Amino acid sequence: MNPPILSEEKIRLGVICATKWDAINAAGDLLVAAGHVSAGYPALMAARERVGTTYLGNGIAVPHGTREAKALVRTAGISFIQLLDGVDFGGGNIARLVLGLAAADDTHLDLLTHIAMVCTDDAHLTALLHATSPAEVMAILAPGTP
Amino acid sequence: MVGFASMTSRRCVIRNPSGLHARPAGKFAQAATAHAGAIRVCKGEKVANGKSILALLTLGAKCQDTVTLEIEGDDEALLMRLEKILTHSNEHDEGATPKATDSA
Repeated sequence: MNPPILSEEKIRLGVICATKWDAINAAGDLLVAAGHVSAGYPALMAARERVGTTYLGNGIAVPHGTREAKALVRTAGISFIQLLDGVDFGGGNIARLVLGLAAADDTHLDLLTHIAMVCTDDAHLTALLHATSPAEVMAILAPGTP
Repeated sequence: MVGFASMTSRRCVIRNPSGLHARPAGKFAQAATAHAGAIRVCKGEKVANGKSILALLTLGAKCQDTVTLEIEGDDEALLMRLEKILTHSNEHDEGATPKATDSA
């Protein structure tokens, strides 16, 4: 059976990362551990980030693999990392929430749209920033996932 | 719209095979931010602030979708530049990174 797109074991709260690369790796490792992608995927998330930042605004970054990385994607998935202090994703843009994405096809845009819909709602965004249990994150982010 | 002499709008068709995803949305917002007046992108009943990547992503605009680009104030050059970002079909040569390998 395919793992669900979002699940509690892919959610980490109050994480401390020294750099955005640590955060991207952590987000990628959660996708690997859950079986969404194969082991080479996190390195290609870093490669994508070097091409241009995946910081979206509002303290949110959505690292994901390069076009070539699609071959490493088995099923669509989202990992969620809430950073204790945030990390600089470049240009002074501090990400507090890092959502790792895996999708092999048009689902990628659906995942982005879903995350953008949730995170442009101030109440939802505040709740995600201050969540203290994976269940709280699930309650906000899981409904309506593609 | 008080204070602006005009509002220009243009319909365009998204040509990026991956739709209006993070990378073109980022380019669009970056180009739009310097403009003093409001910039909006509309798809159906959805209206997005063109200066916000997150807002643009809420549109979920896929390849071949038609969107309406609206700019307050008169800046034909910017309008053309923004339209080009929306209608560009090849993300590899639109922008500063010739080796773009974005997944979508």
